[in-house]
Amino acid sequence: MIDRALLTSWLAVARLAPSPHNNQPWLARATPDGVILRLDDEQLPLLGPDRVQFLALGAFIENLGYAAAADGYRLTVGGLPIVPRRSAGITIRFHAGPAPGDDAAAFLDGARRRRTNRGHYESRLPPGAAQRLRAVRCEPPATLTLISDPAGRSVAADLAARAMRVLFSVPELRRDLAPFVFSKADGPRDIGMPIESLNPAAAASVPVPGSEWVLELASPDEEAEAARARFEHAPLHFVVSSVTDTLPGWIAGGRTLQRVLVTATVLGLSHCLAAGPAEIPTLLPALRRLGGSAGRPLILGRLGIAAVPAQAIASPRRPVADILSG
Amino acid sequence: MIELLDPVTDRPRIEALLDPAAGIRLVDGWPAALPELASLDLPHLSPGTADAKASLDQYFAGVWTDASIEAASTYALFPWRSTIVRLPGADLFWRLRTARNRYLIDETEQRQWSAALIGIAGLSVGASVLAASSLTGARRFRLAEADTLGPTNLNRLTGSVCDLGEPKLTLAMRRTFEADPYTEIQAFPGGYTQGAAGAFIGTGGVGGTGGAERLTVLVEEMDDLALKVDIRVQARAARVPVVMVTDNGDNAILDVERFDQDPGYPLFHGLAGDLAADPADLGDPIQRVNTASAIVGSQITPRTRFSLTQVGRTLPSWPQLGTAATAGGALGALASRYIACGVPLQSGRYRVDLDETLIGAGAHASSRWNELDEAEFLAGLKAVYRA
Repeated sequence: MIDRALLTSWLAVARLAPSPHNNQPWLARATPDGVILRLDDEQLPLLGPDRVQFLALGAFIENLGYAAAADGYRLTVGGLPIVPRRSAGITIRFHAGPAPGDDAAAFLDGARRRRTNRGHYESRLPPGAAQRLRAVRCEPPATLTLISDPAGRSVAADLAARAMRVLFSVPELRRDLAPFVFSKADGPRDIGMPIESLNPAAAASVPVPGSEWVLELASPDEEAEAARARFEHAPLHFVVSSVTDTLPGWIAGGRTLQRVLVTATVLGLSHCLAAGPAEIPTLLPALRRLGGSAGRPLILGRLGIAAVPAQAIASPRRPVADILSG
Repeated sequence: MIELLDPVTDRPRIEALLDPAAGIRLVDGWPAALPELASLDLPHLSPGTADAKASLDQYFAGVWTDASIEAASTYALFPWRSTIVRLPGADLFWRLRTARNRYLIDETEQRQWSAALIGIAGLSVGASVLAASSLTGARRFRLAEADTLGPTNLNRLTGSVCDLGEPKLTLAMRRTFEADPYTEIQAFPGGYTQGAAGAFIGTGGVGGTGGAERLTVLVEEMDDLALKVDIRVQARAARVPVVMVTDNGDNAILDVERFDQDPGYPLFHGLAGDLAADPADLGDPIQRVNTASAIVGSQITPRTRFSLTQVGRTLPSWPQLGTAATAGGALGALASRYIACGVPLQSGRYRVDLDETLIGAGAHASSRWNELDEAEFLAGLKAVYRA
């Protein structure tokens, strides 16, 4: 039987995982030896595919593992359904194990400090950082491709820019995004992204609700070119892929993604993700080539030392009480 | 007519039917269904890629084992074909059969349409309405028809010379069951009669509480004018909406009478007066023609006008084309679905004029020997029937 207070403290870390538009699409039901996780319908867009939602759930599981490990527990994931239904339950069990190793505290700290930084990055990397990232253990069947050559980074920047243009050009995608952007004109939120983390200039000059900025004011071209510039300057890009494009592959992809992000945080690096190139059918072929033959690309990201660390603005989080039942 | 067999509880019966001595052919629907189920479960896969192949291998190995396929099966016996088909069970089959409707008909609408109880009286044009309704996912019907298939039906009714002389009702049921064996059909082989009105139209709730379940929509496609009036009187009393499609050359006319919304709505939009108050006049042949003419009106194609003046002279009955029957089937099915799904379809007459769509206003001109303009038509009718 897992102590309720212990479980709550682990979930408080797990909920810090990244999610699409910070929608935090997770729910947990306590069981005697763990939790059953599933997607929270209320936080999902009208239609799938839910690849990126399950990636977030995978990252959530990885964070849960870091928190449990620091308390001397090992986490296992039960047999996953292959078909990615929104109602799919994922069984997590915790097993008491050996005392936590030296890395446990560092990774837990990294999981707690991890923030998305959508600003510019410096062009240099700390010594040894790329090697440390290459050594990140991928959760099968997920794979990781790091891209540091200028040609590859240029392709990644182009994909990020085109994805951003699509996001702000397709009414359905704009409508999906709108509820998840908020400004000072909005009330307090526990989901979504503050507008200043997306577009500091807009935040300073346009005192309107975030949804209004997304639906009426944001310029597809400006957002696309800003994304291109930020990705072009980043010294290192990565693609997380999976050998199979099914729910087990997506969960494993999310866990692998979180290992990369937490490792980068431990190394002093910031990150920013772009799910669009993996989700927009016209961009996928180029992302596949960028990812090599590592499987189905799940997400693109950039890593580097933030030029403006303060732009890593902490997005709000849902209280654990909203996530946990049972 | 059709037998649905469970792979566990009906195993002895299935084994007996599969015995070569029984002379029953087995068709396994799963090899065709499995790739389609995979495409529904994993629609996001990128065809032709290594990860799609790996995903499908994982899917087929993990989801559809021989045991899970058999457990999810139903065996459907079609005696008239001496064939038994192993199929995905009702829910899976419904998912497959409505898969290509998705978003065009949303899930709520699809469930409403599949749960709706559609009554069809008359299975000439009515068979086209039945076919289009079943194709779009309706699966609960009451069907009334006493006629048999004759060679002259084959210009508008999908059929086979192998079935000449067979009841139209039997043929309609066979076609429907062959496309969706899980369809519920309540048959009225004597056709619609006053005596069958209560059972056909129904007055009760779902499941038969308070009498037979009331129809969601009545599609009326009978020839007999007295019965057309009677069924409307009964439908209006039970507050069941009525849909009727009528051939008009190559075109179709849809009549919608929302007795569910307005129990005082006049029969046939009141075009022929108060038929409910005085149906006895319909015994008189001249009154009958006058009433039918008043209901149909003169806004019909020039060739339909001419043809109607020939009924009883050089034509035995109302002229009909397969194009109109097919268009009318689609129109009747769509109107029924709108009603079942709560789309605000008002009472009234609606015309679908394919001639005008294709050749413009010239479609209404009468220039050939077999075409009449409206004035000539009305004058001819008056000369014959009101002389």
